[in-house]
Amino acid sequence: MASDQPALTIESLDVAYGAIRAVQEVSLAVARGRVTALVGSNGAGKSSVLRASAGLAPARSGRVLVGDTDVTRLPARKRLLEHGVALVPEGRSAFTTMTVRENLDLGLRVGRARAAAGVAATFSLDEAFELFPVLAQRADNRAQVLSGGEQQMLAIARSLLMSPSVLLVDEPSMGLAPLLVRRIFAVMADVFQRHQVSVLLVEQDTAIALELASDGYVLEFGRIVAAGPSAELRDDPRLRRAYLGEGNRP
Amino acid sequence: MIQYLIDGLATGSLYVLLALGFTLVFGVMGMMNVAHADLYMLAVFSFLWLGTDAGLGTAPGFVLGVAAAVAAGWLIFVVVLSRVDKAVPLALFVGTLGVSYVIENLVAKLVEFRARSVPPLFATTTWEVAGLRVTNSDVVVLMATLAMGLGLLAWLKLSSTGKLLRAVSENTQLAEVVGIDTGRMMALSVVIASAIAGLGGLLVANKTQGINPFVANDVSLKMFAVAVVAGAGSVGGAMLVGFALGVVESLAVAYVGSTWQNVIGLLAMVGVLLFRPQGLFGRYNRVG
Repeated sequence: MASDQPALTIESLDVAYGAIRAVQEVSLAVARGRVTALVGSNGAGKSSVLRASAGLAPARSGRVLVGDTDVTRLPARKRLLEHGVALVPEGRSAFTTMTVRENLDLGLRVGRARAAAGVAATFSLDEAFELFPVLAQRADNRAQVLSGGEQQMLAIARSLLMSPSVLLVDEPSMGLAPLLVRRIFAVMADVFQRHQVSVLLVEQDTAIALELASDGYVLEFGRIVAAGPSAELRDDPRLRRAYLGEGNRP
Repeated sequence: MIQYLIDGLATGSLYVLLALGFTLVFGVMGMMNVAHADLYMLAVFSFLWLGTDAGLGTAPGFVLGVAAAVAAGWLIFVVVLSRVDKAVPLALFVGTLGVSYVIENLVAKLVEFRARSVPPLFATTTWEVAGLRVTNSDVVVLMATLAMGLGLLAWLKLSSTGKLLRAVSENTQLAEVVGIDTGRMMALSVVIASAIAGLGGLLVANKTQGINPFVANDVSLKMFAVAVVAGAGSVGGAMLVGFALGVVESLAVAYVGSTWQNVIGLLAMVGVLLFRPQGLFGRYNRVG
């Protein structure tokens, strides 16, 4: 398999909820071992692209490929267990009545299934505890006691334990204080880099997303309106006006 | 006084055994199976038909009775529970209520609308200790209830499959995201619940020595009450509340009058729900 082949490819994807077309003709590629950002304003259809990639929202037409395997028709569970498409959902996504360790075990369980299918684990429980010391301290407490940011860290650690071939991260900044968002993005940058994780990141905070990502796509009303290396998108004057807040100041 | 307590715990066993399964399925599927108590009745009649009438004997009849409850529960799951749109709770309520009517009337037709007496599973002996009367069938019911309830709790807490079941119970969508086969877990919860209902039904019928096709009408309400007061989805809570309801009823009969038996428990239910709508042990804020 060529190493320049994308980890995830989406080809002219359409997602519709009844008569509402949330996503139209979206095509994108997530390069292996790198972070690709999908940015855009609220309601642009970013999460729909992500959920359709994971198999949690129905694709009306188009294809989703992992490496060169078409997974469009596979249910979410098979995409995860057989092809390593892992999702970090938006918002608080820990099982709060279970302990932190039990939550992480759910990730390890997928990782073991992946190992049985021949995908070597790259991330261990020890590493998770080292990276997020609060998870080690709270290992035997219910996840309920964790703050929103800590639950986000737990969800990220849990998904990394699944040995994902592509990691879909949905709005990690949601509902968190700006300082905490910075910290979580710093940790993600570090761990994604170190483990060469292929990531599709959906984020409303365009500036911080393009800082973490090497490539980016801009979604508007369900369509891709701009794409390119993050550095170029950051400097695009139209984007600066529309998403980075410039020109809106009094 | 202690005598009423013992009688109450024995009565409470039935409420516990039914509410355990009902609340387990409700937790995992987010669905009420109104026909759940009918599985108890079905197990006992299957025992009578196969064990007694067909002459297969007590032990095979017992096993087949439990198997019949599991088979019926499985069928309800495949035909109704897994097909009805979860977003319409009323459809589910009406659907399982319909199933309940069908089962009850079908059985009633087969036995020509008569109650039947149930032969004992084993020779009954009554012990008198310090003026208290305890039968061995009481002891068996009580011990079996405790064993099944605590066993289920321990299994949910400690086993790897039990943990997956708890994950589905807390948040089905998130369970999908972490790769749990939620459909399989739902089927498993139905099988466990049906087996407990069948087993419990046979042990209780051994004590009451009778069964009628419409017995679910009397116990369903108690089963709902126990599950709701405990907090829907709470297995441990269902045990405590089920025994408590049995004891309260027994005391009500003794000190207030037997006509109050059914009133007291339901009054207590309304009282609890006024102050704790999520139930006594409710952790319930279900997503999706």
